Amino acid sequence: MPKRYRDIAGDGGSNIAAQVSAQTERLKARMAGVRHAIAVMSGKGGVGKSAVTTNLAAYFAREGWRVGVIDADINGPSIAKMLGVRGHSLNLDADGVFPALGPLDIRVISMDLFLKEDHTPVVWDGPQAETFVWRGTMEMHTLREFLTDVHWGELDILLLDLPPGTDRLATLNDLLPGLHGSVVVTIPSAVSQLIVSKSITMARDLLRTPVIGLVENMTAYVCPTCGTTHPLFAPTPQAETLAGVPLLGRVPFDPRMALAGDKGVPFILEDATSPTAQALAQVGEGVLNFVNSGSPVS
Amino acid sequence: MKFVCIECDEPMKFAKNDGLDDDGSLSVNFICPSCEWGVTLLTNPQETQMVRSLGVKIGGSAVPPKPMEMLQTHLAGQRSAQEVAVREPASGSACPFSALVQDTIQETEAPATLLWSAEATERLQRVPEFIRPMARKGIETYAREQGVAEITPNVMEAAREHMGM
Repeated sequence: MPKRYRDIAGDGGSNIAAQVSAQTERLKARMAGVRHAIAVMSGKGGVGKSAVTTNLAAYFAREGWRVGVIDADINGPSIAKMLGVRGHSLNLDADGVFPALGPLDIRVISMDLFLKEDHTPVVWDGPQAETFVWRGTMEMHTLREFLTDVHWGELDILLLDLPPGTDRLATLNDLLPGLHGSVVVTIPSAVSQLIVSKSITMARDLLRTPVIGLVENMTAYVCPTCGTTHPLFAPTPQAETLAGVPLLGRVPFDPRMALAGDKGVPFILEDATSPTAQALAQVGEGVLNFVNSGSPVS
Repeated sequence: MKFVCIECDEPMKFAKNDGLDDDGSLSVNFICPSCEWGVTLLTNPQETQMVRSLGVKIGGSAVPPKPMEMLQTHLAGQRSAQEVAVREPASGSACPFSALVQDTIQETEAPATLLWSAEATERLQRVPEFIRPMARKGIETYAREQGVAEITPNVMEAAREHMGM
């Protein structure tokens, strides 16, 4: 009977399994100081995940929590800009890189902090033909390095801003089995809700990660002059759940929020009394209740 | 990935990594510890990159990877070293693959002259022809690492043990 793969202990000297295991142990050791890790995700792009992430970070920091943010959107990083740390120098020692410090000392790591210029895309050295073979793995390993090789220190909460789609959550779930849950962002359109419901199914039913709740973003337009609200999208049923996931809040669009993001200041810190900031605070409160209770809302 | 010698039904052992070619293809040698037959694993550039992107090293690694090693080694268009300041300057390349390449280049550019004793030469002749060049190179590499000027049967034996064969 010829030998099969599992009949042979080891791999002849490379010890790849041990190298991967060592990576996992280093990640686990680094995450030991992180009380809660929460992903902000959506199946759909352009719904405001990064804006929700930065404002959630500011909400928790304002509550006195020690907050870290990982921009897991490797190819379209925006967190560094929105938290005002673009161009900050990173310090590296033998054990890791020190995160940039944003408002209220929010600790930030983003691919943007490694790129040379505004227009520099993420390009990897390597064979430029058939990059689909290895590009995804490279991005996965970058996320692993963001988790493992950053001096996060003691954190009360680590927020991960995921790119659109469901694949990065699956990657994150592999890397970080201790992920406490995810916040799902959508907008009030049938198309968005159709796509986002797939993300919820992936997160909750296939990956078995708790879905903390849903954020319905850009629900209305708040006039910056008179404060009245107007619908941005055609009216949809005002459901309190989507695919069984409870609603954490409806966040109206305020153009000043976009301006605040451009300035690198979370809107929740700039105009705390505005309807948009208050809705974001309500979302933050929902997440806070979840992490304090230690059990999923859904 | 594992290799089995069909003749001996023995798992083959990693022998040496010949490094990268210009196009990113890789050559890695494995030897059967019983009959000393060897095979060379040749990867295409995409396969090499796939392994590289996992942050692991074929042939194992004696030192742990440096922080952000993969990102800093393989991201094109990075900020300068001043902007990503290194508090404790690392010596040499951070990348295990490029380290291998450098080792290979150094070996190629500045080969040290080694003497083979008559007994060692005779013993080397008994190694199957197919594997002989690789065996010679492995033994010579070991001898250089040990600072040995002349290769004798004892050095060959030590090299064999060192390579786990």
